[in-house]
Amino acid sequence: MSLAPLLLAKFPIIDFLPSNFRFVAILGWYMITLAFVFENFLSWFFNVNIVTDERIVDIDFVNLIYKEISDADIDKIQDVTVKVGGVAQTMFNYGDVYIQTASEKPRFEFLSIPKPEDVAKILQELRDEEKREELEGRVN
Amino acid sequence: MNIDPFSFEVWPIVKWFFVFAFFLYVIFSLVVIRQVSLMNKTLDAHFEKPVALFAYLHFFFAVGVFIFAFLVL
Repeated sequence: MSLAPLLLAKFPIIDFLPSNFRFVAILGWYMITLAFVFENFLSWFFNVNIVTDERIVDIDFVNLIYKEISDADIDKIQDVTVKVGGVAQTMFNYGDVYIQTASEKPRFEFLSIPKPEDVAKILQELRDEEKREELEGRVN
Repeated sequence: MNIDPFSFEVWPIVKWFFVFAFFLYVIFSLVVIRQVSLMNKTLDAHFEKPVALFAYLHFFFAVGVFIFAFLVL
């Protein structure tokens, strides 16, 4: 996208415009590119999944005007599914973790996260710990 | 006789089209600032200041381009 205006030397499709309009059109193109890159960066940067010893938090920044924040207690987790599919995910060891809970939000999705098996293992350990605490009657 | 159909009416309309598009972009950059500040309050990330700074720079750039388009076209 950033190199597209260079093609105008080969394909003069906006030459019918006066030079000032041409300059502003190219400027506009770069602004659209900047907006595209910045918004994609923001949706990556603000998509956060947090696992603590008491709860999981899923913050989804879908786009600029829509976001979703949900959390659930560890003991509400019913099952955890790890999905690693495709050459890239297998090579670079990343994938999706789906967490089914008994709470209002049925499914937490940790998408394209590194080391998904480790996340599932940690969640398993935390659930076991929670069960132990419940059996022993401990509060924390 | 060669009459240029674009010489009188079309370019002012195109100018206002461009200016309106850049105005929309300024609104978009304001939404970005608002959303970034809200998300920075939601999340305690360590990289929040550069992101907020970039959002403000983006807004000032958008305003600059809007004024530039208004004056140059």
